[in-house]
Amino acid sequence: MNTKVTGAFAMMLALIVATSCYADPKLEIGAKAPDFSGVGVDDKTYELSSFSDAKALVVVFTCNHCPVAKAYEDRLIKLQKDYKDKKVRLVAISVNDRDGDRLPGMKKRAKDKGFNFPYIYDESQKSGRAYGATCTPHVFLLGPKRKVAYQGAIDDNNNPKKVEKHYLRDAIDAVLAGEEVPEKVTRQRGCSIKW
Amino acid sequence: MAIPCLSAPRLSRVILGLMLLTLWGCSSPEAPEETAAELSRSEAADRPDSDSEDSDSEDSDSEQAAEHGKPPETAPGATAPGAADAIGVELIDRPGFDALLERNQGRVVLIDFWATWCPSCVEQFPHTVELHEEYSDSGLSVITISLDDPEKESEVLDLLREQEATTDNYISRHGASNTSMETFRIEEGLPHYQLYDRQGNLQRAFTPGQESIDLEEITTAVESLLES
Repeated sequence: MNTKVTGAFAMMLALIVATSCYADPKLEIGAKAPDFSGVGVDDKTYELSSFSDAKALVVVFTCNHCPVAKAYEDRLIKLQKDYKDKKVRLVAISVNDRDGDRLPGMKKRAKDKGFNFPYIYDESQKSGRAYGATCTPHVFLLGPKRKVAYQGAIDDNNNPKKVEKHYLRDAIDAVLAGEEVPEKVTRQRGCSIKW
Repeated sequence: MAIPCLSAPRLSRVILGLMLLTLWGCSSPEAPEETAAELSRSEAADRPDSDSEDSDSEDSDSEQAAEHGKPPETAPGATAPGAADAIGVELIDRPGFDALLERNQGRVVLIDFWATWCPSCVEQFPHTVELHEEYSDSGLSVITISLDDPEKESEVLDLLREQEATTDNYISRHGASNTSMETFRIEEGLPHYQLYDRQGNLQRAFTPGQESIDLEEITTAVESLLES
């Protein structure tokens, strides 16, 4: 092999090792997204199939109490607003077994903040386990065929003024354009889920 | 990046080789050390200004001991238990982190990654301080690294003082960002603990995962490394 080829493969190896050498996510990129089911703050039941009209679906595991989750609420509201006309929908799921993070608290929060997306409570926590959610917020982007196209953090900083990488938006744009998502897995960042 | 075309059989052998290397690299406890070299090549261009903020409160005895190859008897950088008003915090980045591990060679090192924005971390903090008080004399160095925005230093300090955290305390230079997560190889969110043996090898990482972190498990792991 000439040095160019060796160099190219060394870089590829470094990339593979660098991006994959931490705890593998439970759901692989490209895997069919698991179903979920929960009761919304509007008392209706929501499942994966409730969003079949969406071209892309953003599933975000979140909660009421975690300061990081709270720091992202406005960003999620804006995201849903920005992408509504492009047939992207968002569903927020709480699986936290914790006072304040269950439906009564969720109803209040959704109303106070004016959530423009369903906020559902999955008491069984099955959705959290099936998706491999570990903290709040932890986001999964599902494409048109409901395969996992992106998972991890919504963007790269708790402070909205310091965000440099808009991981989720970039992923959504790529999915809508039928292009490859540039960064498919990032480290989710937030407070541990209360199992 | 242009990859030259390969014939299908050769390409599949190369991919298999890369997959095996990746699995090998991920399965050994030394994996983070091995990937550090790989990461430093790919990250070198991206790394921000990296003059490390080494602790300047080092015990001169421990420096001398380190020079003569003996493990430091007291934890470098930590405040003497009881001197709570001397509790401080410094910025840290990856080079600083590596230097920290280097300084603590010969001691078992427990790193508690936390943040004021992580309520569970704050709840579990007393356990970390207890381990420091209990085992510092036996060779345990307890380091706390906050993933708070450096602008929030006073809030971080308030909490540390409230907790009487006479541990060796830092704030990530990269704040509450994914850069912090990547820099310190934090997985799955906070709380996150890393436990290094006396040779500076990562032996255990405690992550939120799909269970709560068992604090007793951390204690047991610490004790086990102190005995070896």
